[in-house]
Amino acid sequence: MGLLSGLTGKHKKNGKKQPDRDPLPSEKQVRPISSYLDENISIVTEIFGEDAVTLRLKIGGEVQAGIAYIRGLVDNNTINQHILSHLLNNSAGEKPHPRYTLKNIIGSGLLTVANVKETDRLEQVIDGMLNGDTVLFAEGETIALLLGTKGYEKRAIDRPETEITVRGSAEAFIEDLDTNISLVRRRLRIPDLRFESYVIGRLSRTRVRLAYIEGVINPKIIEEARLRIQRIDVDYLFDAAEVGEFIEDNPMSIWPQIRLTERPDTLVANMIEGRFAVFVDGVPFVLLAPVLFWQNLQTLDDYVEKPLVGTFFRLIRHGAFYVSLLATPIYVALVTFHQSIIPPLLALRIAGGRETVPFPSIIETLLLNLAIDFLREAGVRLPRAIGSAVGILGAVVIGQAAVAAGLVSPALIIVVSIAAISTFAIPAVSLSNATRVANYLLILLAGTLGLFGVVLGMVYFLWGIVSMRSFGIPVFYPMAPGELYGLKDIFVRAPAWTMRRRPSLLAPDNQVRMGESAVKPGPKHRGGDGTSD
Amino acid sequence: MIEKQKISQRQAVFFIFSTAFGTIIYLISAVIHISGREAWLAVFIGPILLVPLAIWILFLGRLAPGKSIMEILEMVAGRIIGRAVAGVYVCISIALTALMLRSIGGLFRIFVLPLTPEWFTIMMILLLATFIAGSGIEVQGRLGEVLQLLLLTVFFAGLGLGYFTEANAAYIFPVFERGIGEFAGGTYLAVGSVAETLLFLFVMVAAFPRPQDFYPAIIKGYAWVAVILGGAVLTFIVILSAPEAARITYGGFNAAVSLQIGKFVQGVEIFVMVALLLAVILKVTAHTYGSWMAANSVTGNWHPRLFLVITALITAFMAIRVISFNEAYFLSIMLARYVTLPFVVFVLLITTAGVLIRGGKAVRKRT
Repeated sequence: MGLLSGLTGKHKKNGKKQPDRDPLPSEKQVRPISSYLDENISIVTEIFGEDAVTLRLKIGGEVQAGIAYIRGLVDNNTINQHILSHLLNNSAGEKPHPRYTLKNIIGSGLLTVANVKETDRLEQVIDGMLNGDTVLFAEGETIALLLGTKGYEKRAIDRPETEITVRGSAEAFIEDLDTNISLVRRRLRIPDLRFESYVIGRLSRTRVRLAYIEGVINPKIIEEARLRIQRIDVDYLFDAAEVGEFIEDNPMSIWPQIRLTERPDTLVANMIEGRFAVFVDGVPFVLLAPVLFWQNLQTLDDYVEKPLVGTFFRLIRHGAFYVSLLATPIYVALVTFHQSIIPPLLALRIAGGRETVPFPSIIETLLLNLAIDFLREAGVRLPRAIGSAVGILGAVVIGQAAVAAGLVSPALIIVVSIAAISTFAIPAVSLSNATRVANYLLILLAGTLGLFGVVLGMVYFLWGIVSMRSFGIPVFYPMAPGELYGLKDIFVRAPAWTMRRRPSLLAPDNQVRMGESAVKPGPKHRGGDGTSD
Repeated sequence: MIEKQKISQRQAVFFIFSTAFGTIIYLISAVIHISGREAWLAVFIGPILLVPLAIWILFLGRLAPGKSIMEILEMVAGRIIGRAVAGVYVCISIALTALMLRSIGGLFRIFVLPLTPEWFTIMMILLLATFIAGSGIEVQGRLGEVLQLLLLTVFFAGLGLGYFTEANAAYIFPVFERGIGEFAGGTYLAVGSVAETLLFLFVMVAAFPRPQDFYPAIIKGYAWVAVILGGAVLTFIVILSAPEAARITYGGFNAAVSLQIGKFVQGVEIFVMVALLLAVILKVTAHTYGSWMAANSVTGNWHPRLFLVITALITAFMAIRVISFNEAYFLSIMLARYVTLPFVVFVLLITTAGVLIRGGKAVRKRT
C-alpha cells in the first residue's frame, strides 16, 4: 500500500490530503529571546541535547551570562582564545568596567572574533548554532550575540578525480562551501563576481550559493536561475545534481543540460563565458549552466595544447562519441540486414566467426553489451584495487571463454570492446552514460529495422537534443541555431587570439573578451623594426 | 535570445532546401527522360524561376507579420474563401506527403527490408515526422540545419565515388542535343516540383520575425536548391549517361549499387539510402507541419493537437492506399505539372487582389 501510494504520488490519510508542513522551526522555537538566562539555556539544551555545550559565567564580575554551541561544528581554539579567555579574565574583575551589556560588549574589545551578529529571535539563535556559531546570552537581556566560531574537520584540497587533465591545475573542489568559494575568488579577483545565498532543505537546511559575473551573464538567464532555485522545496538536499534536476529545462531527457565540475579552473572559464554556477555545501562538485551539448566533448587540455594538436584530440573525442553510439548498432544492422554491402572477404570472416553462435546477432550483441555494463558498474563500485582486477578478469578471461565456447563471435567482441573503450574517451560522465542508454535503443532498432531503424533512431535522438533548451539557450547552439563564429570552438579549437567574442546567446551585452592588442603573435607586432629585444 | 516559434534566415534557407530535395526521388529520371543530357540545366534553372513568386509571398507577408498567406487571405477575402483555400492547401500537402511516403516505402521494401510490411516503414517515418512537426517550426529549423549538412555529405559521398570510376565527360557534351521544347518541358517539370517549397513558404512566412529581412535568405535558398539539385542530376548523367539515367528510379539508389572500387569499397548505395531517408523525413515533416497549420486555419485553432493527429492519420491512410511506387511516381509528376504551381499562383493572385481592394493599410491595421 505504501509502495503503491508512493508510486502514484497519493499521500492521503483518512481521505484528506496532509498539509505541507515545514518541520523547522517549530512553534516553540519561533519566539523572541527570553530575558531569563536560565530559560534560554534550557531551551537550547532541550533542542540539541547532549550535543549542546553550555557554560555559565559572569562578565565584569557582575553580569550573569551564558554561552552555548554545538559540539563538532565549532573551532574550539577560537572559542577558547577569542571568547572564553577574554570573558573569564574579565569575570575575575581584573579590568573594571562600567556595567557590561551585550550591546557594548561588541565595541569594548572584550571579544576578538571577527563575525559578531546581534539578534532578538530564538529561531535565529538556533539557526546560527546549527551553522557553527556560538551564542552569548545575558541575564535580563532580550538579545543574544551570535559569534562566528564555525570550524569543523574537512579534507584538504586534492587533485581532481573525474576530470583529469595532463597539464591543467591540480586543484579540485572539496565538500566545504567556503573553501570552494575561495578557490573561485582566488581566480576571479573582481568585485563583479557575485555570490547569492540560499538555504534549501526543510530538514537539511543546506547552504547554497548562486555565483555569476555581473555584467557578463545574460540578465534573463540569471533571473530565471534565481526563480528556479527559489522554487526548490525539499526535505533534504543531498547533491548539486539534485538542484540540477529541479532547475533544468528537460529533466526527463537522457541528454545532459547541466554540467557538474570539480575543477575551479573549468568553472571560472565557463563563468567568464556567461554561465552561472551553483555551489552546494557538502558537495565537491559545482553545477554549471546553461550548458551546450558540445561542452561535453571539450576538455581543458584542448586549450593547454597547441591549437592544431587540441583540434586533433577534440576530433578524436567527437569520433569516440559517434563510435560509442553507433558501432554496435551498425554492426547488427549490417550482419542482420545488409550483408550485401559488406566486402566479401570481411563478410566471410564474420560469418565464419558466427557459425557456432546459437543466438541471433541482436541477442548476442545485447547480451555482450549487458555483460560489459555489468563489468563497468562492478568496476566503479568496487574498491580500486579489486575493481581493476574485475575489469581484467571480465575483459580477458570471460571474453576468451565466451569465444571459445562459441557463445559470441570474435568480430562482435572487437566491435563491442571498441565501443566500450570509446565511451571512456568522452570527457563528460553524464554524456557517456546517456550514450550507453541510447546505444541499447539503437541496437534494438538495428536488429529489427536495419540501417533504416538506426537512421530513424538517430533522427529521434537528434530531434530530442535540438529541441532542448538550457535556461533558454538551445543546447545544440552554435550548430543549431547556427552561428558561424561560435563553430570556432566546437569541432576545432581555434587559436586563442581568434576567439575574441563570447557566445552571443550567453552574454549578449558583453561580447568582447579580448583587448585590441591581443592579436596573433609575430615579428610585426613586436614594434620597432620587428626585432625582439 | 531567439524569439519562440520564429526562425532565422539561415533556417529559412534550409527549409526551402529541405522541401525541395525530397523531389529527387522522382524528378531525376522524369526530367532526364524529357530533356535528355541538358536536364541538369533545366533543373538548375527551374528553382531560379520560382524566386519572383517567393518574393511575392514575402511581399504579402510583410503586410501582416506573424500571419500565414492563408490567414492573410482570410483577412482580405473573408472567412469562407480563406478557409476553402486552406482546405485545398491541406489536401495538396497531404497528397504530396503521402506520395513521398509511398515512394520511400517502396524503396525500402524492394532493396532493404523485403520482409517488413511497407505500411510499417511508412508509419514509422510518419510517426517521427509528426512528432517533429508537433514540436514547432523553430525546432524543425534547428533539426533541418543539422540534418541537411549530414544529408548532403552522405549523398555526395556516395555518388562522388562514381566520379572516380564511371564519369565520362562525353555524356554531357554537347549540352543541347534536343529541342527547346523538350528543354522547356523539363524546366517546367522542375519548376512544378520545386513549387512545393512555395506551398511551405505560405506557412513559413508566419515564422519570419521581419519578413522584409528575408529576401536575401529566400534568394539564397533557391540558388542553393538550383545548385544541389542541378548538381545531383549532372552527377547521374556524368556517371550513367542520359539514356541510362532516364531509366533509374529511387533517386539514384539503384544506380549507386553498381559503384565499386576494387574488391573492398562497395555498398555506397547505403549512403544514398540514408540521404534519401533524411530528405524524406525533412520533407514529410515540413508538409505535415504545413497541412497542420492550414488545418488549424480551417478549424479556427480548435483543438490544434487533435488536428495534427488527424492530418497524420489521413496522410497515412492515403499513403497506404496508393497501390505501388509506379503509381506514386506518376501521381507525383502529375501534381508537379498540373496542381502545385497553378494553386500557388491562384492563391497569390486572389490574395493580392484582396489586398488591393482592401488596401495594404487596412490589412496592417487588422494585424
